[in-house]
Amino acid sequence: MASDPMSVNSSAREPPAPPGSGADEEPKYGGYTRFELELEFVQALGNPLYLNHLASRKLLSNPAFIAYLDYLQYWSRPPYLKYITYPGPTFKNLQLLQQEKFRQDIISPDLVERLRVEGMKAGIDWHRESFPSTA
Amino acid sequence: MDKYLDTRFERVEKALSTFIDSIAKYNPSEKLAEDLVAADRELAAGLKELERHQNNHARILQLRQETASLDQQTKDIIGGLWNMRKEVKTTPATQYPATGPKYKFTTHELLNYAKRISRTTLPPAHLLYNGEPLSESQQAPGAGGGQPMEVDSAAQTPMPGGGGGGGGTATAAGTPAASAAPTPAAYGPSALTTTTTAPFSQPPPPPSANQTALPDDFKPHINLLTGYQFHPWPTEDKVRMGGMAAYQSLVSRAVDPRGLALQVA
Repeated sequence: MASDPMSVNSSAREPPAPPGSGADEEPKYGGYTRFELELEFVQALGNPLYLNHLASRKLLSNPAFIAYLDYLQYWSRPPYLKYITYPGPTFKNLQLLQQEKFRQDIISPDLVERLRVEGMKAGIDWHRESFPSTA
Repeated sequence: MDKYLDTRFERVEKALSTFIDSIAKYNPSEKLAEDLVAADRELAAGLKELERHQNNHARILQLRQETASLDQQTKDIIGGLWNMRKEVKTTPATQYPATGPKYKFTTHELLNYAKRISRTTLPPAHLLYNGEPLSESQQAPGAGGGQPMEVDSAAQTPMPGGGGGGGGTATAAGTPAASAAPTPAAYGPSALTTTTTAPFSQPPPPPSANQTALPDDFKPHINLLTGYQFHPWPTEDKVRMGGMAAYQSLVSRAVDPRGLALQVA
């Protein structure tokens, strides 16, 4: 298929350059740089439903994909870190995805539902712990 | 004390007996009477002394008791302190993992970052204080659903109608084009038409007999945030609006996206 960030043809084993530095040399894939596409993908990983979707397509058992997930961890370090707008679930799920067991378990809809519910609840509760209760 | 009183008593007795003797001998002598009176007076004084002595004694006993109890208290406190010290010493301190490489950042950067993620990590105020999201059976579009990414939001391409197929991820696994399989059921409907989940659901208020209550149909028009559920992650609609979906649409049309400029479909 078309060469894309994940294909074996891709010569890049290094994270893409963030915008603002050497942006002209990067080829754009349909108008998006590799940086943008990988940023989108890594943040979409924060959505448990998306993870289930990936698992249902058997992507999570593909070694190339697993290696890609490992490579994606560069987003957790500066200077890439500051581009992540959904920091919490993105990094948590990225870490979880490094574990084989999680990759196998995420196909179950129960786990997905629990993750979803707890994630939403945590998104609210995390702030309220430090708030004086006004209710 | 006893001896003291004893001497007084003896004097009284002696004086009394001498006096009685003298009376018995029909020899009342004033001096003896005076002696008797004086002895009696001294006895009274002695008794007062006795009273004082006994009060003091009682007080001494009481004070002794107090000091004993206070001593005991002090001992207890010191013992408790010692135990606490032992416990504090033996409690293991939290071991923070050795921090990795440290990166410098400016507060300016930090504040900018905080401003940026506040939209995606902080739920709207009504959720924060009410504790439970206003949950209805549909999920209304999020307030001002902007792009989750930092990327240029002008690069939004309208979602390719149906051609997006699977998650639009460009992967080497298999063939992305072939994965124009029907949208997976697990991903699509459950993200969009979430019926209220158990921990959050408040059943919609029963239709009240009050005729002036707002009909439920009007609610979404009045309050655009009705039924809004806060997700700290990008939802499916956002994902589908992004670059990956555009890429996928190109791939599914068997176009090599590499090197292509932005396509406005």
